[in-house]
Amino acid sequence: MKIKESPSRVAFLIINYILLAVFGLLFITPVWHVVMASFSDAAKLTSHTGIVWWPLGNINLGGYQIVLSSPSILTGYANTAFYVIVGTSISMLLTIMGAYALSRKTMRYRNVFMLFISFTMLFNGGMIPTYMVVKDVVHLYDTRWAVIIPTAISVFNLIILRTGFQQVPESLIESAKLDGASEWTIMFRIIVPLSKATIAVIVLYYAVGLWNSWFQAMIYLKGRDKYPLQLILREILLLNDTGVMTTSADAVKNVQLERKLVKYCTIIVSTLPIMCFYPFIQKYFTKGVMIGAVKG
Amino acid sequence: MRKLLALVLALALCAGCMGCIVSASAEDKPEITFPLAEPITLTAWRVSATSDPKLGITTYNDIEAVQAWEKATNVHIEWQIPPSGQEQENFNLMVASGDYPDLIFDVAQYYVGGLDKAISDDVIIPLNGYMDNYLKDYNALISQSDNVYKDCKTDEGNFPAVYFINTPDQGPWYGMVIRQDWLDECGLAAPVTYDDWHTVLKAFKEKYNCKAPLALNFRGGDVFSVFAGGYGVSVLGASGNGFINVNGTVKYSPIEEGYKEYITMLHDWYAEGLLDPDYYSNTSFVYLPTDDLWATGNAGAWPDIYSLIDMRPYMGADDNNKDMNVVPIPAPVKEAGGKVNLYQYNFTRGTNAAAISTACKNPDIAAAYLNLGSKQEYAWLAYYGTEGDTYTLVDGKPVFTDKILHNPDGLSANDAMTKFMFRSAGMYIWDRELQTAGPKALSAINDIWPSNQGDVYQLPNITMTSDEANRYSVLMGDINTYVEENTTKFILGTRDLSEWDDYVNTIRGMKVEEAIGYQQAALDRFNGR
Amino acid sequence: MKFINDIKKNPGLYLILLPVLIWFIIFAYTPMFGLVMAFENYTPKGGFFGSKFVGFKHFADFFSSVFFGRLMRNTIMISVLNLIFSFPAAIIFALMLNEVKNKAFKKTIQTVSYLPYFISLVIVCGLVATFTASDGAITDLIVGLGGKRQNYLGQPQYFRTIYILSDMWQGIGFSSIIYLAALSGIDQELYEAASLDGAGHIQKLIHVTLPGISTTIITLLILRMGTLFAVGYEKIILLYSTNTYETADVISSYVYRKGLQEFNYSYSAAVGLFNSVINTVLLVASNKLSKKFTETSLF
Repeated sequence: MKIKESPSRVAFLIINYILLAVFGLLFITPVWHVVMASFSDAAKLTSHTGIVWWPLGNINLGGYQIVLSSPSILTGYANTAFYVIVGTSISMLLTIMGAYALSRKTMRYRNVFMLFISFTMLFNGGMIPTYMVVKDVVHLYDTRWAVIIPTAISVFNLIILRTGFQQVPESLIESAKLDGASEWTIMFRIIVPLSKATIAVIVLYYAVGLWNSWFQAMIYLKGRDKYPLQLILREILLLNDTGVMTTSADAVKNVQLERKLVKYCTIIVSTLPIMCFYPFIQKYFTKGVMIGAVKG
Repeated sequence: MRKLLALVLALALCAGCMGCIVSASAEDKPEITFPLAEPITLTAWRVSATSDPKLGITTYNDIEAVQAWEKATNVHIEWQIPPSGQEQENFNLMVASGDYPDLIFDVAQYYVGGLDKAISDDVIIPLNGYMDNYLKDYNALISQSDNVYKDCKTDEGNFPAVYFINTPDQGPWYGMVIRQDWLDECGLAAPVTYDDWHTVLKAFKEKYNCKAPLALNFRGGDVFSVFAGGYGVSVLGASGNGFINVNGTVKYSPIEEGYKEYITMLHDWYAEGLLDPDYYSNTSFVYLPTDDLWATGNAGAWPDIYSLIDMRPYMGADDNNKDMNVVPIPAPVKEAGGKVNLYQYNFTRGTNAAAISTACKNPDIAAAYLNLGSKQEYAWLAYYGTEGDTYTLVDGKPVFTDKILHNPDGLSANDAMTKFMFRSAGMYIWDRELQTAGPKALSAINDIWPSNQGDVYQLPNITMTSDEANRYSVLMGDINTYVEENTTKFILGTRDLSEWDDYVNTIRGMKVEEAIGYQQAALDRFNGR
Repeated sequence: MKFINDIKKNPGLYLILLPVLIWFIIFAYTPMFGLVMAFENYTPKGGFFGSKFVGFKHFADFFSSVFFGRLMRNTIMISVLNLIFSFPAAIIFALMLNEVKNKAFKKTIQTVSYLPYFISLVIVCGLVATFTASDGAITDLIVGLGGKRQNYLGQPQYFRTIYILSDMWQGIGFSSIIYLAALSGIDQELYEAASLDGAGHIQKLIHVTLPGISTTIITLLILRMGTLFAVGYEKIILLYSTNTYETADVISSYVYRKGLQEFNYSYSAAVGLFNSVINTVLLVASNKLSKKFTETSLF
């Protein structure tokens, strides 16, 4: 704390710290639980109720063995990496372009286009018509692009980014124009650097969305060599689900102890990499971005 | 879009000659012998054999018996396997897209609206023209009994697909089990009537203070109505979803007097703590009790699968229950000597089936290929593998070797069967699994569970027309919600049982009679085949 | 033509916008022909243009359901309550973090808060169900405080509370990220100027901080209004039980159950369309209100 703070301010700060610490504990507990449970003894975990604070029984890596022994898990990671990196890039490019054009007040009909775009947030044709378009109109069926392109733009993200772009003072753009800068240059040299924080958030949203996505892949991919991680892991999770209706006893054979354990291990395996992504985003949330830019 | 238009056009052209295809000539077909002189590739949609990563099976072609079939037939299959858990969506999309593989397995489970509709939708071809030539072994297999033959035909008289025929017939593989060690410690005999069960469960509750002396699923029963069977009613979620067939008359259980008696009993038992106080919220208990109930000494009796009975103590029971002695027990009846009318019942004709699609360019070869599973040598190759490797002949019968029974890589017998063998259409040799079953499992399926089974009230494999089905689903969606909700309320006591008549009248007001009518019509059509 | 003139005036902008518009036409507008499904008995064979036309039959079926009133009420209740509690919660959380000077502490809490978002819904709901069962940890706590021992999740009167609290718990950190980004964009000079004017912390909050993120808040609020009727079925069906249908059953879970019995594309499409129409009305209305009272609007 710097110089003289009023007593009420100090009281506020103390309460604020305490509350946030309590929230922090509340947030970390389930994650802790999942991590600890994933190293637990399968039988003990099954009969345990309540939070697992420490691995139950001896530390057990059996669950991870099951999950990681899947033959396609490595290709799954590789495919997901491709989808996240290439997909996020394409999504960002298109979203930035849309958001930039529609944030410019010089465009007389921008509200008409906004309406045109917002409308799709509320109405969509549903799964089968979209499938037919992807398959028979643009012929992306069973290609990796089918996972990326049909969902490349999120209207939600576009609108948020546009809101962010609108914060940039018009005067900056005007002066750049006078210097003869093209729209393309203004977009990438001025607007984007000035909206780093918002861009970072949108990157995070797209990347997390693509990381978790499996439905697109399920619909459009025939070849298992293109399956993303989540689709492979879902199958492993399902293996442990005995609620599946079958007509013969021998189909209900996969009842095994590791059911609960595998669930927890799957969560760790499938989310750890993307969880680590956040700190890289966080560093863009630094204050005073604008000042430097305006003054510089 | 282009395909869509083409489809519409094709249909318009076809409309004039409905039924021309059915009568393909039965004579003068050239003989097809396997292995084929020239290798051929067929595509096939089929749900995954397993998603267990430790078996290392990603497609059927990784299975040794499938490879053996390929060698014996010179037919290579390119499999289209939907992701596990998304089979229905994947199937619907395949149908909607009009891009079909040559063979469609599991078609009967996934084609919404029945196989007659699949034929009239031009997705699969009727096999009538092949029954006397390329499918003659399958024809012989289903001709063994009039009932089976009828069951393999549709209302319209089509043979839509090659079904999996239980060879031999299958006994009940699901029924009630009880903790014999607890019975012994309480000095009680195995309960027979619902009253006996009451006494036993009360004793369990007092002696062990367990959460669920009787573990029933979240709908207050089990998926085959085994526990309610003594009242002659089916609970929701069981096959038929409440509808039963009492000697040719369709009834809707939840408005029958037997259902009221059953619910009243459960209400009293719930109040006494004989059911899990949280039973209605444990939705992961559909088939089998969750581990927190049976493995921790919280349940004294529950519905179970026969093959699991012997394994229960090794499936993760906690230290206090490691020595549990679980035994099968006949389902309860109202009075000693009575019979149950609902139980796990298997029709000879299974629900699995393999069909030939309209996109197939070699339907003759496809039919001849599907016929192979009805020949014993090919069926054995599929279900038992290669002689000398996975089985040997003892007195003319195949017996698994240690590669299956005591797998050197530590696989369980079930896993080994999945890894090395597959199920072909035609003869469904389910009884191979009896070789791996324990003594209690065998007594359950052969003696104990069948011991008090009377006439079965389960509806046969009937189909509604698409108009009937549409209307039926609109009506039953609401009725099922209402019944589910009020069944729980009656059992918990949040709604008083004196309001039963009110409840029945509400359901009648929701036009349940109309829905019963559709079921009855479908049943009459079935009986008239 | 004015439109042509506008293009001539902003050729660069239109060129940038063009690929985006093409994407929307192909992937969002072309499939919309599928909406006709809601007015027919769709069959794969008949396709979109050959299936039997039934007009508003599916809508009539839905409106005449005995549960229609209850489904509407539950959907609105859950969604409005969720909006009232979860929406400001993320903002307040972001503002609280913003007051923290200790960088390490701030970063830790921030990171930790977003972790629950990545735990799958199945696990979260499983934990909620276990903790609120009659022998669960939370129930034990309530009993210790003098409450009744019962299955709390199974009681109709507690369902919404549990639903919303668990939603906040899982989503608050992830939703607050956008506000944190907006907060970091506020011009520091404004704070300095306010300090020079002798403004206290509360005045700064009201006159600098909140106006600084108000555009973001309003934009998100309008967007949220457009999804007000879209309570997802996944979490509902993971948490509800037959005893709580009366407060828990929403439109989407009802359609989901219906879908399980018979894959009725047309019916689902009709209900979906109904949902979309209501959401459109809400979105347009809130956009109008926002335009009137604040400077912010989507279009």
